[in-house]
Amino acid sequence: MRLRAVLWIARKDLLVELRSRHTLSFMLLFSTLSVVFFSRVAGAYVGTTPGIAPGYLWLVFLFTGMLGTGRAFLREKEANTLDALRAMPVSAAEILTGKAVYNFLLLFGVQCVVFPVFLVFMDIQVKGSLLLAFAVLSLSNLSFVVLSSAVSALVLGARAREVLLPVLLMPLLFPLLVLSVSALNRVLTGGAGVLAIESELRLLLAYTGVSSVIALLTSEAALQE
Amino acid sequence: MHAVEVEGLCRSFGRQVALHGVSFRVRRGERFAVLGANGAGKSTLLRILAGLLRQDSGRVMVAGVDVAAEPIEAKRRLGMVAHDPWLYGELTAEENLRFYAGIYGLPESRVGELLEEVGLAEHAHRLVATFSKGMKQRLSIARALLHQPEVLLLDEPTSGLDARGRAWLRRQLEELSARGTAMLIATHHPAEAMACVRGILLEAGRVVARGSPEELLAALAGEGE
Repeated sequence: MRLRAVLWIARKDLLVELRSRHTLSFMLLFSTLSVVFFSRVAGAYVGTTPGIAPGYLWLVFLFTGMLGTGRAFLREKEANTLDALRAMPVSAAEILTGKAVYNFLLLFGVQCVVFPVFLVFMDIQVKGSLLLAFAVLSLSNLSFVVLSSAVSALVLGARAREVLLPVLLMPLLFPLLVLSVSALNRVLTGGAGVLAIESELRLLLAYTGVSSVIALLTSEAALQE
Repeated sequence: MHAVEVEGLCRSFGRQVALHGVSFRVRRGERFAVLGANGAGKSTLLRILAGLLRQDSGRVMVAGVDVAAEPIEAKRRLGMVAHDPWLYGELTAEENLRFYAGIYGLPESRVGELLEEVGLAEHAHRLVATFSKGMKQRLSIARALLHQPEVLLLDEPTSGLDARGRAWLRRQLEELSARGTAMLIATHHPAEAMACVRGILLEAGRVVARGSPEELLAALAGEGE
């Protein structure tokens, strides 16, 4: 895999997004509104049962992520530029990786804004390291974007792709959500350190690795006309 | 060695036969017309040559490279001007070309050269979304020529161009031909075919005539009677 091609694709997508700001602004708006909504509806429960907070946080990121990350391939399809990428001397795996890098940065940017907003609005008394909690989120983000980028490429040719994407993605994300919520819960409300969540981190890494291999292996078929 | 060699090419979409036993050869520097009505199989042929679509059977060689066996290597030797300009409206002309040049690993100076060559140097920093159809077509040609391909595929290259744009394109093609670039021009305009040296006439995916433009036009006229 050529890193140069991957970075050029990710850089181009970021530049296009920063010019239009369509996806990023909708993701930020949606996630912030969701946090406000959850804080009004479930804020009191979080006060008595803080363990449910990471679950709410992941619900916000799950829907925000599905809203935004599917756009990377869809935008190319709508602008008829996907063929331009495919006509260049780059492999499908390089195109997919470029899109995943872009999606990671997009979701990372949203998390940087929404995570502190979530902690404040939900009035969570953080017992562990915020940095570690953010690291867990970022690692989960990596796995999320690998899967969402791969599945969004797979459903690109389907008619009801906007509906198909969450339906296919949700079961695949289930192990990731369980692990990430568990690790975040232990860090945020239990004050756990990196050693205490080692097993979750190892499993998250393994899940990301397996997801990446499957995504790369299916990329050629996904991007084939 | 021929610039393009196509042997017994077949491709179907379900029950519909798009190409059936298409064979031809294009010499280096030759302008070769692929003439035919809409739906004759011209675009399918070009898409297979560009590595965007797999053939069901048959062999396609570009500059001595088998497109199906070594698609990345073949794509390095190919440039394509498609129906759509394959440009990003949110980026400037220079940013568009810089992205494509980056993927090919070309020096940045090549972008300036090409913009100068197609007469868009003074519009380098304008967003492509604000370009006219003719300007987009010029930029699309610059994009296809960035890596100095041995073979250039042009799908209806004059569609949407005014008389001045068509004259400019014809001069460009003559210059490229003199430099040794082989060109395949898919068109349903007899006038465009006249700018070529040889060609084939496609009808329902089959080659029904081959030879000089005059011979193709005579065959086309014969069909209409």
